[in-house]
Amino acid sequence: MIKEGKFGVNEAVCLVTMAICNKIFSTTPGYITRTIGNTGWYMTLISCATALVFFILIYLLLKRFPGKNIVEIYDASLGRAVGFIFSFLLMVSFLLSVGIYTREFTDILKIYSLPFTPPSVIIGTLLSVAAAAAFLGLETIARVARLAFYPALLGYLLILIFSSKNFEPSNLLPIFGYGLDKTVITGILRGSAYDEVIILAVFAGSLQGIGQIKKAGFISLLLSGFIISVGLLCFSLVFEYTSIQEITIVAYVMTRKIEYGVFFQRMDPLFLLQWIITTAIYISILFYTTVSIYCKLFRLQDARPVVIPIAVLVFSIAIFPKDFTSVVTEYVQGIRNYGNITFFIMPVIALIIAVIRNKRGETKCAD
Amino acid sequence: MSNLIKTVTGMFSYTEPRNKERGFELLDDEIEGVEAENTPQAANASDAISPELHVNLETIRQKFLISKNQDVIIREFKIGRKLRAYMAYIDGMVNKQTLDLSIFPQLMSRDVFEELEKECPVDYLIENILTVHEVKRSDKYSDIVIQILNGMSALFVEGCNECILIETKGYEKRNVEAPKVETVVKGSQEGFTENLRTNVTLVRRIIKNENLVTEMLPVGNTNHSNCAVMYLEGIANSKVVEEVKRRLKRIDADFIMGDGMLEQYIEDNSLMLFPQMISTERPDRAASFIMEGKIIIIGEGTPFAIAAPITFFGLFHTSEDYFLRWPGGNFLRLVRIFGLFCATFLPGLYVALTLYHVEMIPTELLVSIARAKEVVPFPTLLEVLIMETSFELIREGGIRVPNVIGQTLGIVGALILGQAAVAAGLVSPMLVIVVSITGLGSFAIPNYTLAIAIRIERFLFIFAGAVLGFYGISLMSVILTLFVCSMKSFGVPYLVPVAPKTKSNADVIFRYPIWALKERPDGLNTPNRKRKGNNPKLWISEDNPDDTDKGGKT
Repeated sequence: MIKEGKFGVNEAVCLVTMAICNKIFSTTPGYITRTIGNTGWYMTLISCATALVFFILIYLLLKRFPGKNIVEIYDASLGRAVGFIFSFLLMVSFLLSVGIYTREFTDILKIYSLPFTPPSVIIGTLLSVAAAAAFLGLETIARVARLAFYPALLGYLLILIFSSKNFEPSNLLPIFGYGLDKTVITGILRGSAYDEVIILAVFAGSLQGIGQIKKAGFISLLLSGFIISVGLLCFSLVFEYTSIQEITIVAYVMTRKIEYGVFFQRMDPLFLLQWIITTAIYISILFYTTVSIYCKLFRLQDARPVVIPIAVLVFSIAIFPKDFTSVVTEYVQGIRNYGNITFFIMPVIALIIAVIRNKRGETKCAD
Repeated sequence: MSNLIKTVTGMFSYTEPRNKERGFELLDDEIEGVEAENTPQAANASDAISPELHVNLETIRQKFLISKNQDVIIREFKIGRKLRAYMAYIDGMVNKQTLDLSIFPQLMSRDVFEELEKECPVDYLIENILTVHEVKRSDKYSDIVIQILNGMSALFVEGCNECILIETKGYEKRNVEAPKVETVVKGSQEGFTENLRTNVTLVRRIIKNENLVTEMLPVGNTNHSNCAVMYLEGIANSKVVEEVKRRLKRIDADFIMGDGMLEQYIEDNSLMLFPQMISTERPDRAASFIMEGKIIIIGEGTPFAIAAPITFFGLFHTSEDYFLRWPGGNFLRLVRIFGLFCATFLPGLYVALTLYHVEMIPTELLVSIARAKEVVPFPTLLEVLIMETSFELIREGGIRVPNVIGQTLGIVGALILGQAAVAAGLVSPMLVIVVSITGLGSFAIPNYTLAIAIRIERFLFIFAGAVLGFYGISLMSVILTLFVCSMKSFGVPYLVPVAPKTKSNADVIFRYPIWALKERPDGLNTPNRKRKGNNPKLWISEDNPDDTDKGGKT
């Protein structure tokens, strides 16, 4: 099994929160508004609550097999054959996620910043960073996430605070959007927006016991819920819901609207740097998770030989969609809709089967 | 006629061409290898001293190549006018007054052998005759040769299979002067010198503690240099001390000179840009490192010491930070961090903004930049590279030229970079400002090795900005951060206590007031973390007895 090193709760929280919250800079806010109107800010809290429920179940599964990661648990709970399929599906989900998010990022960057740069260059360079991160290992990625998290959070909050000048409270009306039932149902179904919390189960062996996993999971989910909710609330306050639907990245346009006097205007550089850096780290996290699951799946001792082949695979996936519209409406939404199955439902199935078959891990590692 | 015959016969015969090259020519032939095998060092297999003086004498002659070496002195004499002996030392390395006044007169005196009964008088001489402060004995040539090379005098006596090594070091050395690289306004004005002993003493004079350990380790297989490893027993982590010594002992190199070479041999990762040890020429700073729990290595021949383990944040600290009151110290650190930002990113951001993201520049500023660039014939990247390269040339030239014309070079350089370049239409005035601020920023970085690393990185950011704009700069930042996060200095993560998070320290980026710096850095894992009592300002409680509890909580 590959050696991934150790990291603490703090790093874990930054890692997961950064992975989850990066969606606020994507096309997701616009798409949500198209579906449920201006109620995204509390819809996401429902999604967060849904993810919390699933995380509790994942935590129960991990608690049953202390010291083991999700791949080992699938094997122990379901048997090698079924466990392999489950782990493989998880790996494929991450592989598709990293490929599609890379493509989504590439297309947005082309729209706003690099219109003449070929997508393959953007994808290639981004994946080079992810591959370098994978070479350096999980400890390094966790440290980078920890290092970048607070400046990124500060930059994000600054953008929100500076945008307060453009807030229009009446934009929040009607308060139930397209209907409360629609908001609640969408909120539950979009629990997959928080599915990156499963990373903690993949790297369970790198955290110091199940207590830390629980702590990191709860903190990161609650923090992410707060960050995303506040962001969506500010978007709704600045733009009418009809406008948000038409905007590709709401956060970027909101930043461009900031203007205090003649000189203090155009905060786009702040946003752009923050967005690219957090996305590069986000893609690195997802990419390494894919590599890690693959290595655990095939019981490889060293992750480095598979980094480049997986990077090539991700590149192929990223280049596959024909246009930006299909990326946003088909692929990203496909991951959102079906992500629940691999990231949340499958661990629950594993838990149920473990209970039925009375499978448990050794208790000596339990804290 | 004879010449004609010679020419004709020469056409049908082969003769070795004469070497018509003038002067010395070093050829790669096999003689060098043979010579190496026949060196006197290789011939002498036995390392033990013989009781026969003439054998010793011959061995020493061979080892020091006396026939060629003219600065090795072998002084033959008779102890007490009876017993044959000789003294070997290197001219210029010893204090002649010590030899002339304290050693030779005593040894040659008639009264030496009044009470001597034993055959070998080594013990007797050490105990009764030699009136010098340090005397050692040795029976191995390998040890004796190194000690002679270090400035000691070796006394060989007839019939003794031991040699007396007498401390007579007395070579020329520079006086203690003010530091040249790490100058401060407030604080000590003493700097290290090239002499190892002096440097150790300078540190010892600051830390008057019996637990301060100085271990001397030999380094360099051929130049037989020494280095001192200094640490505070009970404060420094013993595992780190062992690791430092292990690495120093395992260096297999023929020549090592000073801290710069040592650093490269023992650092964790040679491929990284950033320094993994801190170099200082200030004894007070070296002492403060020791008090923090770090280990100091002082090499021979350079006025610097290196400290390990370090963190990235420590590279921004200077000794002045602690001599100033905390608001002033923190302000200076803030200025340095801003300097680092400018030195790293400014030219790259300028390139990215002007090439890719012009819409992000406020309109008035954009008009100003565009107007200035109108007359410049070069693309922005080339313009920046011209200026940056010129700046680097001036900086490098300024260091290499003699001090007298160094000032002139600076002025000429400033003229070329500034007014002349703009007037000639080679660069835009805006770029001159950018490069100037960048240069000032890099001068504000207190660590020279870090400053060089930043200079290299700056070019990476310029290229990244030119190729992919902000996207390139952001990716380059992430890559460099990844590498920095993966670095370690003697097992201590480079970005501790931020990444990985450890117990917070009151002196990382900003520092608290001096009385609040109660603990040593957590990342060093020192056995004794506490630096101060709960209330370092006890006088407050003495003045106001009611404040005792309050003080205890601080």
